[in-house]
Amino acid sequence: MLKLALRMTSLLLLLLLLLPFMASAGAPAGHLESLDTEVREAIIQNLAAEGYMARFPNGQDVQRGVSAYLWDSRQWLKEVRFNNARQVDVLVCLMIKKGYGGFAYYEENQSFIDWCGKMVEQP
Amino acid sequence: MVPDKLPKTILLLMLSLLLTTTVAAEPLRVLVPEFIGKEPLSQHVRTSVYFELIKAFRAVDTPDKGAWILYGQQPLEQASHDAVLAAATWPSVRADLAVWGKAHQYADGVVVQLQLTLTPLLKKRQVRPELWAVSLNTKAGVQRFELDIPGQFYEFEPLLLNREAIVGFQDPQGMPLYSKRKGGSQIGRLGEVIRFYEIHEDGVLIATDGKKGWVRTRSLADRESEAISFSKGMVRLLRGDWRGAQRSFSQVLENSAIPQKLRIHSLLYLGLANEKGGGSGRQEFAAAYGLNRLDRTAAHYLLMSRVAEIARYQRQNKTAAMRQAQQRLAADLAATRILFDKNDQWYRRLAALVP
Repeated sequence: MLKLALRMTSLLLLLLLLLPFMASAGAPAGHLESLDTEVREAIIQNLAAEGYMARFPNGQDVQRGVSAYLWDSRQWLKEVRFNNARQVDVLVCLMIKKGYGGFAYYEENQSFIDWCGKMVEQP
Repeated sequence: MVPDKLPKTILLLMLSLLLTTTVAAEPLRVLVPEFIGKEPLSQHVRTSVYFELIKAFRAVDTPDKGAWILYGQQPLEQASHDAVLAAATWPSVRADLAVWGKAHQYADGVVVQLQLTLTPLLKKRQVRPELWAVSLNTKAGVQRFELDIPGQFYEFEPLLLNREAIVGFQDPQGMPLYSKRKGGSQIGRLGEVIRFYEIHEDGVLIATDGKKGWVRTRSLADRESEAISFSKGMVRLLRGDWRGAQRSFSQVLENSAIPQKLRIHSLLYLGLANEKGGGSGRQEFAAAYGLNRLDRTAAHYLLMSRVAEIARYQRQNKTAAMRQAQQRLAADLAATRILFDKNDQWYRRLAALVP
């Protein structure tokens, strides 16, 4: 009886643990919420380090932090007209140029590095 | 009184719990870029295909982290797999596969040429359900044999869609959200990020911008095309949804007019889903190899199914049946010898299993 109860509790725990991961989601490619957790965390940490109000419970507020950061950094942007889907890319590009870490995928991608060179000046 | 086996049960469950948290699969990432063609038709077609692909998922199916289904908002630089690979492997996208194509206006309808590209990022996933691995006890110890999925690019026959099948919105964003699957009232519109809760042919229950409601979807065509079935099958295979994959690839094979490469690969993927689902894919692998005896990929799967057969008998301690399976492996190795380089390590390791 005890064994059965324990088994059921563990299964329930397992189910509860898995539930948040089960749902699938959709978004425009490059949307902040669709990024790898590590990259999103790095963005939030770096925004917080520069005094931007980034750490909020929902993604929209982080998005506001991103927009504010890009606006304040506009003097470093060679190209200011870009698609919304590119906002995170420009932000990461700026952060890499400022020496922030946490963006290994981006730094390993030569196309991104070339594009970044065309978009952003060295701050 | 605590039963003897209780500590073992607790340990096992704790271990599974730990494993689930540390080695959980990362979400599968699917990209549907903007189609090549005149705007806004290309965007409408992209959105229609996007919602059709969502039907490949069930909200609660396999114990993994779900999936991200991303739609591209910028046109591809050109209609090539290289251009799609560049868009899909862009660091903010990192898609494992992309479903893309061209769209042209044709009389009252739209001709869509669909293509499927699997990216190299697939091989970097921590958990790869599609990888076929068989372990065997041999005199040299436990040996593991692996086989990866064959294709990287697929091109499908053009698909004619009628005007009604095309979603009336350029982007998923802005589409109406209803309180009920049928009837009910409009309660809002789709935001940028949408989470899927229930997926049906005619509607998807989603949450977006703090609201939960239904998006009404239509079928892309009266009869599901092999391009859509194959793409759904691939998504399901990559997520370990074996039953769903079996259904999709069987649907592809129902069409007698599909090109040979697509038929062979559908047979291989159906066989793989059968094997992964606990059955045998032998019949499908033999049929694929039978269609082209010079197809090395089909030969790989045929041979691997023999290894799986030996492993099954080994687990059941059926020595005589295992010997017979070894003889069948020897016969298949001899028949496919010409397809492999004499130094092919995988083939040589298999040959070493024959006494």
